[in-house]
Amino acid sequence: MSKLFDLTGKTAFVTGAASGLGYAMAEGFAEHGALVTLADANRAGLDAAVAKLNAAGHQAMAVELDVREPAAIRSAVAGAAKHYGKMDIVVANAGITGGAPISEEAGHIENIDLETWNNVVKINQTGVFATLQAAAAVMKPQKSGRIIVTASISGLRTSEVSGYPYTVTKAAVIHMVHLAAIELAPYNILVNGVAPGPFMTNIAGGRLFREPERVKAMANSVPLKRMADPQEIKGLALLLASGAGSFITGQVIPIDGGSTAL
Amino acid sequence: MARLQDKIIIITGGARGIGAAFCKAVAAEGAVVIVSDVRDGAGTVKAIEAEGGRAIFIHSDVANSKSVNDLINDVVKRYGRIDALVNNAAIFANLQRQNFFEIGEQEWDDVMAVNVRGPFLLCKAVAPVMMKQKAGKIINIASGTVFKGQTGITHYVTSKGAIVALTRCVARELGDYNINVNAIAPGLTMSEGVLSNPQMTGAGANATLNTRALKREQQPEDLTGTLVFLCSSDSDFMTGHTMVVDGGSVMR
Ligand SMILES: NC(=O)c1ccc[n+]([C@@H]2O[C@H](COP(=O)([O-])OP(=O)(O)OC[C@H]3O[C@@H](n4cnc5c(N)ncnc54)[C@H](O)[C@@H]3O)[C@@H](O)[C@H]2O)c1
Ligand SMILES: NC(=O)c1ccc[n+]([C@@H]2O[C@H](COP(=O)([O-])OP(=O)(O)OC[C@H]3O[C@@H](n4cnc5c(N)ncnc54)[C@H](O)[C@@H]3O)[C@@H](O)[C@H]2O)c1
Repeated sequence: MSKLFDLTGKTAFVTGAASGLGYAMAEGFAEHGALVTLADANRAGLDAAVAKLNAAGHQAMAVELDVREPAAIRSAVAGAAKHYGKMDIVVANAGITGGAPISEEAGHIENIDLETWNNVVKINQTGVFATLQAAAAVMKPQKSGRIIVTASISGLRTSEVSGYPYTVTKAAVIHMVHLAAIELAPYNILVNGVAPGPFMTNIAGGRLFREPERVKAMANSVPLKRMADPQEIKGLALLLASGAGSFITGQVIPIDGGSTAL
Repeated sequence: MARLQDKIIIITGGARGIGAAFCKAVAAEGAVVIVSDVRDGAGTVKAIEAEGGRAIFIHSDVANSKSVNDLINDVVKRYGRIDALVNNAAIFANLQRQNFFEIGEQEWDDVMAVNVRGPFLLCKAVAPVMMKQKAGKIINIASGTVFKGQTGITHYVTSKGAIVALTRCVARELGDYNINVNAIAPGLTMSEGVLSNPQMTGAGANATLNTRALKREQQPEDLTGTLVFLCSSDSDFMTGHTMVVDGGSVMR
């Protein structure tokens, strides 16, 4: 048996970890031996998530924070690193949709109010940047680390069902991954992104679970003809976090049932 | 826990280099490996057996449809199914550098026959087996040179560009059957073949190394994690994609 994907003794910090993809990634790391810190703005969700992991015999801690507050992220990552003596893996995952797609009246350019725009930028773009800053601050001195950013296929390809704030912020973090990968490589810090296609999560306020017709259409547009379960992000995140991915950096990897086929 | 327990996996070009490393890696994860090559693959099989793994060698020329069909039929007869096919065999490490306008027609055709027709024939032969199973993984080995337009081996780079395209098309056509088709694009890797060709090492290799974010030589073992991932159920929602594994030279 090989140790390619083993994370025993590694520490991980995941934002947006109370739900969906963030929770699945944290759980996947924990299942491979990592000590995980879950960060999220949703206190109740966070407590339930950490309780579930600890009940399964994993080692998990919770930090309540809003990624719109860079200082909070910095102190949370530094705090977890201090607690465990190091921080090996940081995932900048928290994100929201926001703003209707251009196929809808509300998504037309003149109808996007700047409040919505700014809020999505704050969470999806500045929040990711602040998380990368916090990660680099602890990883540079330790001269090792893995950073994973949750982008989206919306950041790779635009379409009728994309909205301005979401698409643009997701495109921005893809460039952020490339740039950070170059800058941080001399410190042995690998930076990659995942670009999910349609996963059944609570995104957009749980709309996917309320609108089966929309979900059916989404699934049919995917070459594999289905939506993904959040569990299915685990393997890719693990590849990028473990020894198995030691020569992968600067990549944003679609996991989308073939929608983009890049 | 082994990630590929009892999976039946065919790896072409498994006699040496990257292909041999792939064979050993999937065997270590519990797979039964069919090492295939025009070269003798006994060495790879022995190395796997020495570690307690399972492997057999089946001679096959990927450029020849009869030989490819014989390989697939033989594997189905022995094991009853094929879980993964890795199209790794190619004409590469022995190539001599030259300008594109110096490449002879015959050499061009030889490269295309092995590097493009080969994976096409294998995909075609394995598709009915995997379609019937409603499951399967195809992993094609492309190259990072496609995204750079590497000079001196234009026939090779063109052939690998075709692999990226083949991967996308076959992924879309087989999506309905729950078959995942992906590619890996390695950077310059110190396989035995590369090491034995002075044109592939030295100054040229150093120039390549300097384009990477991670400034070190790439070894075949740097590719095995990605290959295991793509052979396993961990990648069930990924298809049509070419994963670049090159230390951050090409960023996509
Ligand atoms: N579900 C999909 O189909 C899909 C597709 C592409 C990309 N993504 C991306 O995946 C990431 C995770 O989304 P998900 O689908 O798991 O959704 P989700 O809503 O299930 O989970 C997102 C989590 O982030 C938290 N969060 C939101 N805003 C926050 C803030 N300001 N500070 C801290 N935490 C905050 C939420 O409380 C929630 O727990 C997002 O970046 C999203 O854009 C999702
Ligand atoms: N080494 C690198 O720098 C590098 C970089 C990018 C991609 N690749 C790709 O990785 C794969 C393996 O490369 P390598 O460096 O190990 O090369 P290699 O030349 O050492 O190995 C290729 C193997 O394929 C076999 N082969 C050749 N023609 C065949 C045929 N017609 N039928 C069956 N088998 C045949 C050879 O006998 C050899 O064992 C190739 O697809 C190559 O293009 C290599």
